[in-house]
Amino acid sequence: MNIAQPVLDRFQPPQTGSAPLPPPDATRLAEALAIARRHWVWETDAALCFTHCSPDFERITGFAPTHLIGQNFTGVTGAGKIDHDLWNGQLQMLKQHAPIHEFIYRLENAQRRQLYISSSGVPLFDADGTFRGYRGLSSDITDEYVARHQARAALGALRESERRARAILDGTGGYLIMLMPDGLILDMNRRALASLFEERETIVGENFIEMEWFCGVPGSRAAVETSLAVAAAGTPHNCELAINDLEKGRRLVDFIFSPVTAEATKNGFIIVDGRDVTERRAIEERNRGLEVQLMQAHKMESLGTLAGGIAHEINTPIQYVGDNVTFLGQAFDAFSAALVAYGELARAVESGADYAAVLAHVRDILAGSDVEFLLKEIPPALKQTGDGVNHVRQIVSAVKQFSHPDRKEITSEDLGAAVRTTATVSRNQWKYVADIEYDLDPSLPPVPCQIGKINQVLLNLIINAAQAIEEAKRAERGVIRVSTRKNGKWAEIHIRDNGAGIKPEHQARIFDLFFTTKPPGRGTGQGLAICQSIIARDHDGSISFESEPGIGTTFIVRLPLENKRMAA
Amino acid sequence: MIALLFVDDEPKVLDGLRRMLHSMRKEWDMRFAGGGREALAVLAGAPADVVISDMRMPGINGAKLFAEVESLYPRTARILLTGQSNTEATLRLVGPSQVFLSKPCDGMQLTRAVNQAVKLRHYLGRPVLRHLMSGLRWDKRLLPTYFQIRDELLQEKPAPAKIASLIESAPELERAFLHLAGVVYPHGPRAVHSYQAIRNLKAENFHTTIVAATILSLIAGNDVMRCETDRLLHESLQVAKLSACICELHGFGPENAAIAFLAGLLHNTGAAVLAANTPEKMRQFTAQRKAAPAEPQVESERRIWGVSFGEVGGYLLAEWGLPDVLVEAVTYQEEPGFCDDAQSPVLIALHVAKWLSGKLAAAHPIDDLTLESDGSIKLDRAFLARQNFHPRLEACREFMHAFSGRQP
Repeated sequence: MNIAQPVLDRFQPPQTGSAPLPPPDATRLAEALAIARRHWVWETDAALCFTHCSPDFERITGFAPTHLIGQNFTGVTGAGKIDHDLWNGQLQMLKQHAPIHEFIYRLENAQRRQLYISSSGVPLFDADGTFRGYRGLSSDITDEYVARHQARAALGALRESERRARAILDGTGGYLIMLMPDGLILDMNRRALASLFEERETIVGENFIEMEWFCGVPGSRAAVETSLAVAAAGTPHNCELAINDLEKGRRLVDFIFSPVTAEATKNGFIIVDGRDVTERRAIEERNRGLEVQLMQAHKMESLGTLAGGIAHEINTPIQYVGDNVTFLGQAFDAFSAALVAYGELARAVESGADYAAVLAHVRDILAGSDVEFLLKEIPPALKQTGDGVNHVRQIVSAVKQFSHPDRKEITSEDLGAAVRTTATVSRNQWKYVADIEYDLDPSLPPVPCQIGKINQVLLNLIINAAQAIEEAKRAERGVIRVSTRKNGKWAEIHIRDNGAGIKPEHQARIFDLFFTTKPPGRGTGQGLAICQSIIARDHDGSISFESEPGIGTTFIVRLPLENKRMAA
Repeated sequence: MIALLFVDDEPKVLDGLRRMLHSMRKEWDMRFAGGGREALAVLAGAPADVVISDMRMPGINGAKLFAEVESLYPRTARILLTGQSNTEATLRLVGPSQVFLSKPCDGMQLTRAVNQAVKLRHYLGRPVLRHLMSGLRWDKRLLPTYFQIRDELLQEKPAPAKIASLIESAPELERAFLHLAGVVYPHGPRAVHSYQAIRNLKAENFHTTIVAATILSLIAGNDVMRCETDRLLHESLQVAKLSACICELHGFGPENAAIAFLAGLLHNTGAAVLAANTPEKMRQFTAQRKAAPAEPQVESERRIWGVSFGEVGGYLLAEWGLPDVLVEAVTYQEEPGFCDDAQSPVLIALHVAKWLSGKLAAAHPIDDLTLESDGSIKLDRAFLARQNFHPRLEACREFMHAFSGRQP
């Protein structure tokens, strides 16, 4: 910024020892200044009050030069000072009557716009050396000043943006590498450098494939080569690799190789973005374990409830089987006593002796044992004993069928039989509140499924139905209707109850884990969540429901008749 | 004839019982009902001496039926015959029934249970006892609380917070409960709140403790006998611990030990109620004990009141719905021979514990277990011999030392 310098030079006092300058051509100078339209010349007295101001002042500021006359130089510049320290420094110069250079300050023009003014001046002395004041030139440098300021700000911003970009690269926590399409390293972030014990300056230009990362990890180099080749051809590619992080040890990293084309250079390069997934994979692994445990716990919980019910179910037939057997024993004793008595009677008759006493004895025995009652009751006692034994056998075999297959494999199963088995083992849970009606499609083909898990789902749905009926508190017994049918490529199980129904505000949440409306002790809110997991995830099926509060609920389980996993 | 009513929702169970018990037809008048509603209708026609019912039935279940029977026909014995296993411990102790039988149950067990229930009621229903009892008064304010707590205990999962708030509703109950909880659970953290105490106690202990605390408070609620109850409480605790020890030592099983502990805590109920109601007679009794310390205590009791302390206690405990085994043990504690055909480990334990406690109080030589009487209670050796217990009495020596060590 030395626009004014040549002009100022003219004001320099004659220097001794140099050739005298020609006297300033005031007219030409004024012309030159007028053409520029941005300079005015001025003079002050010894007190630094303006005594003269060229007419250009008015053109630049909109104020008449008289506006300035009489004002103090320090007052004007002080009012618009930009930097206090700088201004103080300039004041020192003024006090010492030294020349001033580019004294920059703000000045408000008549339109109340802030102008940036740069003033330079030289002190004037009398012949006897007495200070008389300053003479100088002021320039409106607003445009330059603003432009320069913006440029500086822009430069700062650019540096800042670079710093931020670097911070982002370094702060991702992941490994970030920029490669040439041929695999030469252009740059990498701090994490990547640290993992290789390298500095940026030394790593640039190395071949990525040769990095320490891939040493001793079989197959990793081949995988990287493939990914590089695919990315170089223009398609992003990802691969999960174990790498040797020299700082952190063996890590599992999910790499994405993305091709990037720089428009300006036309030269493409490849960004390798590696996420450390070691912990995440470990957590996923643990979660899978937890999920298995949760399902197992739920199954145990169901079995615990069932076990109590089953014990009751078995105790009842055992009770009447035992009673009937006791009765049959008593009956046998009575009959054998009667037979013995009859034998005696027969012998007495045969021997021709007087059998009246023996006959009376026989009559006594018959009267005492109520033979009529025995004859009437023995057949039903035998039948009910048989029934009881059969009932226990059914329960035991249902329990076996229900609980045995913790097998993972998918087999073809009769859903109707599964429904009956589950209803049998859970009978104690529903028989006090409801009857079960079956509508099982005999033409339904065997359905590929994990039968143990399907039984668990059916058990949950039947118990829920029974509890919904209990909740409705109707006078008459409820009905749980279980039907199976073929629907296109699907096998469907419908479990309908005429219970309390599901409130509309609960309907969206019933499959959420731990969501329950049951009182403590009746449900933990895991049942339906696990049902859904079993049907949707393990069987590629679906589970849905239709419910109307006060009317009842129908759950619909759909299982594919063709299971891809079975073929595999 | 004993009038019986069997209730079960499974007709085959009723058929089986009817056939098996046909041989009892000369002694028993048996009726059968397929559910709670039908049972109440049958009883409305003619009351029964004993009702035997299943627990889980549609409509009116066993608990509801028994609650109705308890209020409508208090003299009717209630026997629960159930296959239910999950709440068995509670049902045994505070169930709506007085006798708990689990399915499958054979004819012998059933016949014995019915006969004993009838005999006990007959014994407690003697005119002399009923006449005395009708003249007695005791504080009944806590009874509703007791029944509320009992109802909560019978829930599938009793809520500790609800029980704690019931306990805290009566300060004397809370005091008794915290005190007993400290006795039952001496090594645990000292509970300051009922809720804390409930959480500290194991389920079986908890039921025992809460029932004992309530009943002790029922007794102690009467101001007249405050000072007397302290002495009785001390003795009750000692007998309770001795009874439980005897049960454990002789392999009577934890459920019997729990009931024996409770029986020990409550065995002085009769003495406490009589002390409160007839203080003059109690003074007379104390004087007589001092005058003739060698006479068995029960004889003094009979001379003064016409009945024994045990009978008065048994009468009240039966009225409050406690299980027959416990009522029986308290009733016959001093004269187990009166309950001759009983096979009750709880009665054995309580009788022996009471005797041992008397020996400790009289500072008798502990090792001398052959001594017939310590002057307050006569050990019925003939009874113990019939129960095949006598040879094992020697084993009690082991813990007698421990107990004597704690004596002040």
